[in-house]
Amino acid sequence: MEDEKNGRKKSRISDEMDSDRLSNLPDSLIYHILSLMDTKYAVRTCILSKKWTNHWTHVHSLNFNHRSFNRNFSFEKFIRHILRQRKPLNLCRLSFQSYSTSSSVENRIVNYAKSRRVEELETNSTDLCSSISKLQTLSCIKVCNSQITKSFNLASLNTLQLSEVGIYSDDDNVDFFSGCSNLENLFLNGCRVDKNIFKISAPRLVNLSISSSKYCAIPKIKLVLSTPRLKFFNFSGKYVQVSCIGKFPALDEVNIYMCPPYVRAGTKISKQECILDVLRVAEILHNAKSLKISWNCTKGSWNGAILDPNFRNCNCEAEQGFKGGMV
Amino acid sequence: MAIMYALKSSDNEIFEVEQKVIEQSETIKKMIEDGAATGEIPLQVSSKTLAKVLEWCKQRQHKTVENENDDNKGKRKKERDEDDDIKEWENKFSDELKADKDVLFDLLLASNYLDLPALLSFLCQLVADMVAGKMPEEIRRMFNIENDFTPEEEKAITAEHGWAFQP
Repeated sequence: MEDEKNGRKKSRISDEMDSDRLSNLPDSLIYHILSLMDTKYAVRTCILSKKWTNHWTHVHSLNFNHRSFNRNFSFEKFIRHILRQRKPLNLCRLSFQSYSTSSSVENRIVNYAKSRRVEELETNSTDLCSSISKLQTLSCIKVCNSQITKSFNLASLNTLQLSEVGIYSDDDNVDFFSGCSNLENLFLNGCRVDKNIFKISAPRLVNLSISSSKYCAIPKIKLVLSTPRLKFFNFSGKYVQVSCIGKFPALDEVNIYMCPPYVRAGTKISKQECILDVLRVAEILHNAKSLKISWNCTKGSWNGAILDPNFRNCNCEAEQGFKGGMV
Repeated sequence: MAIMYALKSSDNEIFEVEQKVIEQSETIKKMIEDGAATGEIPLQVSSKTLAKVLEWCKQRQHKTVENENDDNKGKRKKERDEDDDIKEWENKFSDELKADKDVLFDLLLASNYLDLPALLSFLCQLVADMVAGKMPEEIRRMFNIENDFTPEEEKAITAEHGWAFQP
Protein backbone atom coordinates (compact mmCIF):
# COMPACT_ATOMS: atom_id res chain seq x y z
CA MET A 1 0.00 0.00 0.00
CA GLU A 2 1.76 3.10 -1.24
CA ASP A 3 -0.05 5.67 0.87
CA GLU A 4 0.81 3.75 3.96
CA LYS A 5 4.52 3.63 3.16
CA ASN A 6 4.65 7.36 2.52
CA GLY A 7 2.72 7.97 5.70
CA ARG A 8 5.06 5.93 7.77
CA LYS A 9 8.15 7.72 6.46
CA LYS A 10 6.76 11.10 7.36
CA SER A 11 6.18 10.39 11.02
CA ARG A 12 9.00 7.98 11.71
CA ILE A 13 10.69 10.72 13.73
CA SER A 14 8.20 10.44 16.57
CA ASP A 15 9.14 7.28 18.36
CA GLU A 16 8.77 9.24 21.55
CA MET A 17 5.35 10.82 21.83
CA ASP A 18 5.48 14.36 23.09
CA SER A 19 1.95 14.44 24.46
CA ASP A 20 0.18 12.12 26.86
CA ARG A 21 -2.16 10.49 24.41
CA LEU A 22 -3.20 7.64 26.65
CA SER A 23 -4.59 9.92 29.38
CA ASN A 24 -6.26 12.08 26.74
CA LEU A 25 -8.33 9.24 25.31
CA PRO A 26 -12.08 9.50 25.90
CA ASP A 27 -12.92 8.03 29.32
CA SER A 28 -15.00 5.26 27.79
CA LEU A 29 -11.93 3.95 25.95
CA ILE A 30 -9.80 4.11 29.08
CA TYR A 31 -12.44 2.09 30.97
CA HIS A 32 -12.50 -0.40 28.14
CA ILE A 33 -8.72 -0.81 28.24
CA LEU A 34 -8.70 -1.24 32.03
CA SER A 35 -11.46 -3.85 31.75
CA LEU A 36 -9.26 -5.99 29.54
CA MET A 37 -6.49 -6.60 32.06
CA ASP A 38 -6.08 -8.33 35.40
CA THR A 39 -8.03 -6.06 37.75
CA LYS A 40 -5.00 -5.85 40.04
CA TYR A 41 -3.10 -3.96 37.35
CA ALA A 42 -6.14 -1.86 36.52
CA VAL A 43 -6.26 -0.61 40.13
CA ARG A 44 -2.54 0.04 40.14
CA THR A 45 -2.97 2.71 37.46
CA CYS A 46 -4.41 4.91 40.22
CA ILE A 47 -0.95 6.28 40.99
CA LEU A 48 0.01 7.23 37.43
CA SER A 49 -1.35 10.75 37.83
CA LYS A 50 -4.27 12.60 39.43
CA LYS A 51 -6.42 11.96 36.41
CA TRP A 52 -6.04 8.21 36.86
CA THR A 53 -6.97 8.00 40.55
CA ASN A 54 -10.53 6.80 40.00
CA HIS A 55 -10.52 5.46 36.45
CA TRP A 56 -10.34 1.83 37.62
CA THR A 57 -13.62 2.13 39.54
CA HIS A 58 -15.44 2.35 36.20
CA VAL A 59 -14.26 -0.97 34.74
CA HIS A 60 -17.06 -2.92 33.08
CA SER A 61 -15.38 -6.30 33.65
CA LEU A 62 -13.52 -7.85 36.56
CA ASN A 63 -10.62 -10.24 36.22
CA PHE A 64 -9.60 -11.93 39.47
CA ASN A 65 -6.69 -14.32 39.38
CA HIS A 66 -5.15 -15.91 42.47
CA ARG A 67 -1.87 -16.25 40.55
CA SER A 68 -1.39 -12.49 40.79
CA PHE A 69 -1.03 -12.82 44.55
CA ASN A 70 1.46 -14.73 46.67
CA ARG A 71 -0.96 -15.33 49.49
CA ASN A 72 -4.60 -16.25 49.45
CA PHE A 73 -5.23 -13.77 52.24
CA SER A 74 -4.07 -10.87 50.02
CA PHE A 75 -6.17 -12.15 47.13
CA GLU A 76 -9.33 -12.26 49.22
CA LYS A 77 -8.67 -8.84 50.72
CA PHE A 78 -8.21 -7.48 47.23
CA ILE A 79 -11.53 -8.92 46.06
CA ARG A 80 -13.41 -7.48 49.03
CA HIS A 81 -12.00 -4.02 48.34
CA ILE A 82 -12.90 -4.17 44.68
CA LEU A 83 -16.47 -5.26 45.29
CA ARG A 84 -16.86 -2.42 47.78
CA GLN A 85 -15.22 0.34 45.80
CA ARG A 86 -16.16 -0.30 42.20
CA LYS A 87 -18.88 2.07 40.92
CA PRO A 88 -22.36 0.51 41.01
CA LEU A 89 -22.35 -0.34 37.32
CA ASN A 90 -23.51 -3.45 35.54
CA LEU A 91 -20.90 -6.13 35.02
CA CYS A 92 -20.21 -7.30 31.47
CA ARG A 93 -17.79 -10.02 32.36
CA LEU A 94 -16.41 -11.72 35.43
CA SER A 95 -13.35 -13.89 35.34
CA PHE A 96 -12.55 -15.67 38.58
CA GLN A 97 -9.60 -18.04 38.77
CA SER A 98 -9.01 -19.28 42.28
CA TYR A 99 -7.03 -21.98 43.99
CA SER A 100 -8.71 -22.21 47.39
CA THR A 101 -10.82 -19.20 48.15
CA SER A 102 -13.02 -19.14 51.24
CA SER A 103 -16.69 -19.74 50.66
CA SER A 104 -17.58 -16.40 52.24
CA VAL A 105 -15.64 -14.56 49.53
CA GLU A 106 -17.13 -16.74 46.81
CA ASN A 107 -20.60 -16.01 48.15
CA ARG A 108 -19.87 -12.33 48.02
CA ILE A 109 -18.72 -12.62 44.45
CA VAL A 110 -21.89 -14.47 43.46
CA ASN A 111 -24.13 -11.95 45.19
CA TYR A 112 -22.23 -9.08 43.66
CA ALA A 113 -22.37 -10.59 40.17
CA LYS A 114 -26.08 -11.19 40.62
CA SER A 115 -26.82 -7.62 41.70
CA ARG A 116 -24.68 -6.25 38.86
CA ARG A 117 -26.41 -8.42 36.28
CA VAL A 118 -23.29 -10.20 35.03
CA GLU A 119 -23.44 -11.36 31.38
CA GLU A 120 -20.30 -13.43 30.95
CA LEU A 121 -18.51 -15.68 33.38
CA GLU A 122 -15.21 -17.50 33.17
CA THR A 123 -14.07 -19.57 36.13
CA ASN A 124 -12.38 -22.66 37.49
CA SER A 125 -14.14 -22.54 40.83
CA THR A 126 -16.25 -25.55 41.74
CA ASP A 127 -18.10 -23.60 44.43
CA LEU A 128 -18.98 -20.83 42.04
CA CYS A 129 -20.24 -23.44 39.56
CA SER A 130 -22.52 -24.92 42.16
CA SER A 131 -24.29 -21.60 42.67
CA ILE A 132 -24.21 -20.58 39.03
CA SER A 133 -27.96 -20.88 38.67
CA LYS A 134 -28.34 -17.76 40.82
CA LEU A 135 -26.86 -15.75 37.96
CA GLN A 136 -29.86 -15.63 35.69
CA THR A 137 -28.50 -12.81 33.54
CA LEU A 138 -25.62 -14.91 32.19
CA SER A 139 -25.45 -15.39 28.44
CA CYS A 140 -21.99 -16.93 28.19
CA ILE A 141 -20.11 -19.27 30.53
CA LYS A 142 -16.65 -20.78 30.29
CA VAL A 143 -15.61 -23.26 32.92
CA CYS A 144 -12.17 -24.81 32.98
CA ASN A 145 -10.58 -27.43 35.27
CA SER A 146 -13.50 -27.76 37.58
CA GLN A 147 -16.43 -29.94 38.55
CA ILE A 148 -20.11 -29.80 37.95
CA THR A 149 -22.58 -31.76 39.99
CA LYS A 150 -25.78 -29.83 39.44
CA SER A 151 -27.76 -29.16 36.34
CA PHE A 152 -27.64 -25.68 34.84
CA ASN A 153 -30.82 -23.72 35.04
CA LEU A 154 -30.19 -20.55 33.13
CA ALA A 155 -32.86 -19.36 30.76
CA SER A 156 -30.79 -16.62 29.12
CA LEU A 157 -27.69 -18.72 28.56
CA ASN A 158 -26.58 -18.77 24.93
CA THR A 159 -23.09 -20.27 25.01
CA LEU A 160 -21.57 -22.80 27.39
CA GLN A 161 -18.01 -24.05 27.19
CA LEU A 162 -16.69 -26.69 29.57
CA SER A 163 -13.02 -27.64 29.35
CA GLU A 164 -11.46 -30.41 31.45
CA VAL A 165 -14.51 -30.43 33.69
CA GLY A 166 -15.77 -33.40 35.65
CA ILE A 167 -19.48 -33.84 35.15
CA TYR A 168 -20.76 -35.90 38.05
CA SER A 169 -24.08 -36.82 39.50
CA ASP A 170 -25.53 -39.70 41.47
CA ASP A 171 -28.70 -39.49 39.51
CA ASP A 172 -28.42 -41.20 36.15
CA ASN A 173 -31.38 -39.33 34.79
CA VAL A 174 -30.08 -35.86 35.49
CA ASP A 175 -30.31 -33.65 32.48
CA PHE A 176 -27.60 -31.02 32.88
CA PHE A 177 -28.63 -28.57 30.19
CA SER A 178 -32.38 -28.94 29.77
CA GLY A 179 -32.98 -25.90 31.98
CA CYS A 180 -31.14 -23.72 29.47
CA SER A 181 -34.00 -23.14 27.09
CA ASN A 182 -32.02 -20.68 24.96
CA LEU A 183 -28.71 -22.48 24.78
CA GLU A 184 -27.38 -22.39 21.22
CA ASN A 185 -23.72 -23.34 21.57
CA LEU A 186 -22.34 -26.12 23.70
CA PHE A 187 -18.65 -27.04 23.71
CA LEU A 188 -17.32 -29.88 25.83
CA ASN A 189 -13.55 -30.31 25.69
CA GLY A 190 -11.88 -33.15 27.56
CA CYS A 191 -14.69 -33.47 30.08
CA ARG A 192 -15.02 -36.49 32.33
CA VAL A 193 -18.41 -38.03 32.69
CA ASP A 194 -19.05 -40.76 35.23
CA LYS A 195 -22.51 -41.69 34.12
CA ASN A 196 -23.74 -44.52 31.98
CA ILE A 197 -26.04 -42.22 30.16
CA PHE A 198 -25.13 -38.65 29.34
CA LYS A 199 -28.15 -36.78 28.21
CA ILE A 200 -27.94 -33.53 26.28
CA SER A 201 -31.32 -32.04 25.72
CA ALA A 202 -31.55 -28.44 24.67
CA PRO A 203 -34.46 -27.22 22.56
CA ARG A 204 -32.53 -24.47 20.77
CA LEU A 205 -29.08 -25.98 20.50
CA VAL A 206 -27.48 -25.24 17.13
CA ASN A 207 -23.82 -26.04 17.70
CA LEU A 208 -22.57 -29.06 19.60
CA SER A 209 -18.92 -29.91 19.85
CA ILE A 210 -17.48 -32.68 22.00
CA SER A 211 -13.82 -33.51 21.99
CA SER A 212 -11.53 -36.12 23.44
CA SER A 213 -12.82 -37.18 26.82
CA LYS A 214 -9.47 -38.41 28.04
CA TYR A 215 -10.56 -40.17 31.16
CA CYS A 216 -14.00 -41.39 30.52
CA ALA A 217 -14.61 -43.23 33.77
CA ILE A 218 -17.26 -45.43 32.26
CA PRO A 219 -16.04 -47.12 29.10
CA LYS A 220 -19.51 -47.81 27.85
CA ILE A 221 -21.11 -44.43 27.95
CA LYS A 222 -24.21 -43.61 26.03
CA LEU A 223 -24.73 -40.14 24.69
CA VAL A 224 -28.38 -39.26 24.26
CA LEU A 225 -29.18 -36.23 22.17
CA SER A 226 -32.46 -34.42 22.22
CA THR A 227 -31.63 -31.35 20.20
CA PRO A 228 -34.23 -30.69 17.50
CA ARG A 229 -32.53 -27.57 16.12
CA LEU A 230 -29.04 -29.00 15.85
CA LYS A 231 -27.12 -27.76 12.82
CA PHE A 232 -23.49 -28.56 13.53
CA PHE A 233 -22.23 -31.59 15.40
CA ASN A 234 -18.55 -32.28 15.97
CA PHE A 235 -17.30 -35.22 17.92
CA SER A 236 -13.74 -36.36 18.34
CA GLY A 237 -12.47 -38.80 20.91
CA LYS A 238 -13.02 -42.21 22.45
CA TYR A 239 -15.93 -44.31 21.36
CA VAL A 240 -19.30 -43.54 22.87
CA GLN A 241 -22.66 -44.90 21.92
CA VAL A 242 -24.82 -42.18 20.43
CA SER A 243 -28.57 -42.24 20.33
CA CYS A 244 -31.21 -39.63 19.98
CA ILE A 245 -34.68 -38.63 21.00
CA GLY A 246 -36.52 -37.01 18.14
CA LYS A 247 -34.99 -35.98 14.85
CA PHE A 248 -32.55 -33.39 13.58
CA PRO A 249 -34.35 -31.74 10.67
CA ALA A 250 -31.96 -28.78 10.46
CA LEU A 251 -28.72 -30.76 10.46
CA ASP A 252 -26.08 -29.17 8.29
CA GLU A 253 -22.67 -30.56 9.05
CA VAL A 254 -21.52 -33.56 11.06
CA ASN A 255 -17.92 -34.53 11.76
CA ILE A 256 -17.30 -37.58 13.87
CA TYR A 257 -13.87 -38.98 14.62
CA MET A 258 -13.88 -41.93 16.98
CA CYS A 259 -11.20 -44.20 18.32
CA PRO A 260 -11.65 -47.33 20.45
CA PRO A 261 -12.43 -46.95 24.16
CA TYR A 262 -10.10 -47.95 26.94
CA VAL A 263 -11.00 -51.49 27.74
CA ARG A 264 -10.53 -52.38 31.37
CA ALA A 265 -10.04 -55.96 32.46
CA GLY A 266 -13.42 -57.50 33.01
CA THR A 267 -15.37 -55.15 30.73
CA LYS A 268 -16.83 -56.56 27.64
CA ILE A 269 -17.28 -54.52 24.54
CA SER A 270 -16.88 -56.16 21.22
CA LYS A 271 -15.36 -54.25 18.37
CA GLN A 272 -18.09 -55.49 16.16
CA GLU A 273 -20.63 -53.89 18.47
CA CYS A 274 -18.77 -50.58 18.40
CA ILE A 275 -18.49 -50.46 14.66
CA LEU A 276 -22.11 -51.33 14.20
CA ASP A 277 -22.92 -48.52 16.61
CA VAL A 278 -20.91 -46.04 14.62
CA LEU A 279 -22.79 -47.06 11.53
CA ARG A 280 -26.05 -46.68 13.41
CA VAL A 281 -24.99 -43.10 14.21
CA ALA A 282 -24.52 -42.53 10.52
CA GLU A 283 -28.07 -43.62 9.97
CA ILE A 284 -29.45 -41.37 12.69
CA LEU A 285 -27.64 -38.37 11.26
CA HIS A 286 -28.16 -39.25 7.63
CA ASN A 287 -30.07 -36.11 6.67
CA ALA A 288 -27.05 -33.85 7.29
CA LYS A 289 -25.91 -31.93 4.23
CA SER A 290 -22.39 -33.03 4.97
CA LEU A 291 -21.59 -36.11 7.03
CA LYS A 292 -18.11 -37.31 7.84
CA ILE A 293 -17.43 -40.25 10.11
CA SER A 294 -13.95 -41.58 10.77
CA TRP A 295 -13.21 -44.64 12.84
CA ASN A 296 -9.63 -45.08 13.83
CA CYS A 297 -8.59 -48.57 14.83
CA THR A 298 -4.89 -48.27 14.29
CA LYS A 299 -3.97 -46.43 17.47
CA GLY A 300 -6.32 -48.21 19.83
CA SER A 301 -6.17 -51.47 21.63
CA TRP A 302 -7.53 -53.42 18.70
CA ASN A 303 -5.59 -53.72 15.54
CA GLY A 304 -8.07 -53.69 12.78
CA ALA A 305 -11.70 -54.56 12.75
CA ILE A 306 -12.98 -58.04 12.28
CA LEU A 307 -15.99 -57.24 10.18
CA ASP A 308 -14.26 -56.45 6.97
CA PRO A 309 -10.79 -55.24 6.14
CA ASN A 310 -12.40 -52.13 4.71
CA PHE A 311 -13.40 -51.09 8.20
CA ARG A 312 -9.82 -50.87 9.38
CA ASN A 313 -10.14 -47.18 8.88
CA CYS A 314 -13.73 -46.83 8.05
CA ASN A 315 -14.22 -43.39 6.70
CA CYS A 316 -17.57 -42.60 5.27
CA GLU A 317 -17.93 -39.24 3.77
CA ALA A 318 -21.02 -37.95 2.18
CA GLU A 319 -22.15 -34.75 0.67
CA GLN A 320 -25.79 -33.92 0.13
CA GLY A 321 -28.18 -36.78 -0.35
CA PHE A 322 -26.43 -39.42 1.67
CA LYS A 323 -28.91 -42.14 2.53
CA GLY A 324 -27.77 -43.92 5.61
CA GLY A 325 -27.58 -47.35 4.13
CA MET A 326 -24.11 -48.30 5.18
CA VAL A 327 -24.86 -51.56 6.95
CA MET B 1 -18.38 -5.88 -10.42
CA ALA B 2 -18.16 -4.88 -6.77
CA ILE B 3 -19.68 -1.56 -5.74
CA MET B 4 -16.96 0.95 -4.94
CA TYR B 5 -17.08 3.98 -2.68
CA ALA B 6 -14.74 6.93 -2.54
CA LEU B 7 -13.59 7.90 0.93
CA LYS B 8 -12.07 11.34 1.43
CA SER B 9 -9.57 11.76 4.25
CA SER B 10 -9.32 14.95 6.32
CA ASP B 11 -6.27 15.93 4.22
CA ASN B 12 -8.31 15.45 1.02
CA GLU B 13 -6.88 12.19 -0.21
CA ILE B 14 -9.32 9.88 -2.00
CA PHE B 15 -9.48 6.14 -1.27
CA GLU B 16 -11.48 3.88 -3.59
CA VAL B 17 -12.84 1.02 -1.50
CA GLU B 18 -15.21 -1.88 -2.05
CA GLN B 19 -18.53 -1.54 -0.28
CA LYS B 20 -18.11 -4.87 1.52
CA VAL B 21 -14.80 -3.79 2.98
CA ILE B 22 -15.96 -0.44 4.20
CA GLU B 23 -19.31 -1.62 5.56
CA GLN B 24 -17.47 -3.12 8.51
CA SER B 25 -17.59 0.43 9.79
CA GLU B 26 -21.00 0.96 11.33
CA THR B 27 -20.61 4.71 10.92
CA ILE B 28 -20.05 4.47 7.16
CA LYS B 29 -22.66 1.75 6.77
CA LYS B 30 -25.22 4.07 8.32
CA MET B 31 -24.15 6.91 6.01
CA ILE B 32 -24.62 4.64 3.00
CA GLU B 33 -28.02 3.42 4.20
CA ASP B 34 -29.20 6.96 4.90
CA GLY B 35 -28.27 7.90 1.36
CA ALA B 36 -25.83 10.48 2.68
CA ALA B 37 -23.02 8.80 0.79
CA THR B 38 -23.31 10.13 -2.72
CA GLY B 39 -20.02 10.93 -4.35
CA GLU B 40 -17.16 11.18 -1.91
CA ILE B 41 -17.63 10.29 1.75
CA PRO B 42 -15.75 12.86 3.83
CA LEU B 43 -14.15 11.46 6.98
CA GLN B 44 -12.43 13.11 9.92
CA VAL B 45 -9.47 10.78 9.60
CA SER B 46 -6.04 11.55 8.15
CA SER B 47 -4.92 9.71 5.02
CA LYS B 48 -2.15 7.96 6.93
CA THR B 49 -4.55 6.61 9.53
CA LEU B 50 -7.23 5.78 7.00
CA ALA B 51 -4.73 3.70 5.04
CA LYS B 52 -3.99 1.73 8.20
CA VAL B 53 -7.70 1.30 8.95
CA LEU B 54 -8.31 -0.03 5.44
CA GLU B 55 -5.35 -2.37 5.75
CA TRP B 56 -7.14 -3.93 8.74
CA CYS B 57 -10.56 -3.99 7.05
CA LYS B 58 -9.23 -5.66 3.92
CA GLN B 59 -7.50 -8.36 5.95
CA ARG B 60 -10.76 -9.05 7.84
CA GLN B 61 -12.79 -9.06 4.65
CA HIS B 62 -10.33 -11.44 2.99
CA LYS B 63 -10.73 -13.82 5.92
CA THR B 64 -14.55 -13.89 5.83
CA VAL B 65 -14.72 -14.38 2.08
CA GLU B 66 -12.30 -17.29 2.23
CA ASN B 67 -14.34 -18.99 4.91
CA GLU B 68 -17.50 -18.65 2.86
CA ASN B 69 -15.90 -20.21 -0.18
CA ASP B 70 -14.46 -23.13 1.70
CA ASP B 71 -15.56 -26.58 0.78
CA ASN B 72 -15.37 -29.25 3.40
CA LYS B 73 -12.47 -31.26 2.20
CA GLY B 74 -9.37 -30.65 4.22
CA LYS B 75 -11.13 -27.78 5.93
CA ARG B 76 -9.63 -28.39 9.33
CA LYS B 77 -6.06 -28.24 8.17
CA LYS B 78 -6.83 -25.25 6.03
CA GLU B 79 -8.50 -23.47 8.93
CA ARG B 80 -5.47 -24.11 11.10
CA ASP B 81 -3.13 -22.73 8.47
CA GLU B 82 -5.34 -19.71 8.00
CA ASP B 83 -5.46 -19.09 11.74
CA ASP B 84 -1.67 -19.17 11.77
CA ASP B 85 -1.55 -16.72 8.86
CA ILE B 86 -3.93 -14.34 10.58
CA LYS B 87 -1.98 -14.54 13.84
CA GLU B 88 1.23 -13.78 12.00
CA TRP B 89 -0.38 -10.85 10.22
CA GLU B 90 -1.81 -9.51 13.48
CA ASN B 91 1.54 -9.84 15.24
CA LYS B 92 3.22 -7.83 12.53
CA PHE B 93 0.43 -5.26 12.64
CA SER B 94 0.72 -4.84 16.43
CA ASP B 95 4.52 -4.72 16.37
CA GLU B 96 4.34 -1.77 14.01
CA LEU B 97 1.86 -0.02 16.25
CA LYS B 98 3.89 -0.62 19.39
CA ALA B 99 6.91 0.91 17.65
CA ASP B 100 4.97 4.03 16.67
CA LYS B 101 2.48 4.86 19.40
CA ASP B 102 1.22 7.97 17.63
CA VAL B 103 -0.13 5.74 14.89
CA LEU B 104 -1.57 3.44 17.55
CA PHE B 105 -3.55 6.25 19.18
CA ASP B 106 -4.64 7.75 15.85
CA LEU B 107 -5.94 4.34 14.91
CA LEU B 108 -7.64 3.85 18.28
CA LEU B 109 -9.53 7.13 17.91
CA ALA B 110 -10.37 6.40 14.28
CA SER B 111 -11.76 2.95 15.08
CA ASN B 112 -13.89 4.54 17.80
CA TYR B 113 -15.16 7.24 15.41
CA LEU B 114 -15.77 4.81 12.54
CA ASP B 115 -17.36 2.30 14.91
CA LEU B 116 -15.19 -0.71 14.06
CA PRO B 117 -15.71 -2.92 17.12
CA ALA B 118 -13.25 -5.66 16.15
CA LEU B 119 -10.40 -3.23 15.52
CA LEU B 120 -11.26 -1.24 18.64
CA SER B 121 -11.13 -4.37 20.84
CA PHE B 122 -7.91 -5.47 19.22
CA LEU B 123 -6.25 -2.11 19.91
CA CYS B 124 -7.59 -1.79 23.44
CA GLN B 125 -6.24 -5.25 24.23
CA LEU B 126 -2.90 -4.22 22.78
CA VAL B 127 -2.72 -1.18 25.07
CA ALA B 128 -3.97 -3.24 28.05
CA ASP B 129 -1.16 -5.75 27.50
CA MET B 130 1.37 -2.91 27.33
CA VAL B 131 0.19 -1.51 30.67
CA ALA B 132 -0.44 -4.69 32.70
CA GLY B 133 2.36 -5.93 34.90
CA LYS B 134 4.56 -2.82 34.53
CA MET B 135 5.83 -0.52 37.25
CA PRO B 136 4.13 2.90 37.35
CA GLU B 137 7.33 4.67 36.39
CA GLU B 138 7.69 2.41 33.36
CA ILE B 139 4.09 3.10 32.24
CA ARG B 140 4.55 6.84 32.68
CA ARG B 141 7.69 6.77 30.58
CA MET B 142 6.14 4.61 27.89
CA PHE B 143 3.11 6.85 27.41
CA ASN B 144 4.56 10.19 28.48
CA ILE B 145 2.29 10.53 31.49
CA GLU B 146 3.27 13.37 33.79
CA ASN B 147 3.29 12.48 37.45
CA ASP B 148 1.49 15.45 38.98
CA PHE B 149 1.45 14.07 42.53
CA THR B 150 3.72 15.49 45.19
CA PRO B 151 5.79 12.75 46.84
CA GLU B 152 3.50 12.98 49.90
CA GLU B 153 0.37 12.66 47.77
CA GLU B 154 1.81 9.69 45.94
CA LYS B 155 2.65 8.02 49.22
CA ALA B 156 -0.86 8.62 50.52
CA ILE B 157 -2.57 7.26 47.42
CA THR B 158 -0.35 4.16 47.43
CA ALA B 159 -1.17 3.58 51.09
CA GLU B 160 -4.87 4.04 50.43
CA HIS B 161 -4.72 1.34 47.76
CA GLY B 162 -2.25 -0.83 49.65
CA TRP B 163 -4.46 -3.89 49.08
CA ALA B 164 -3.72 -3.69 45.36
CA PHE B 165 0.02 -3.28 45.78
CA GLN B 166 0.63 -6.41 47.82
CA PRO B 167 2.50 -9.16 46.06
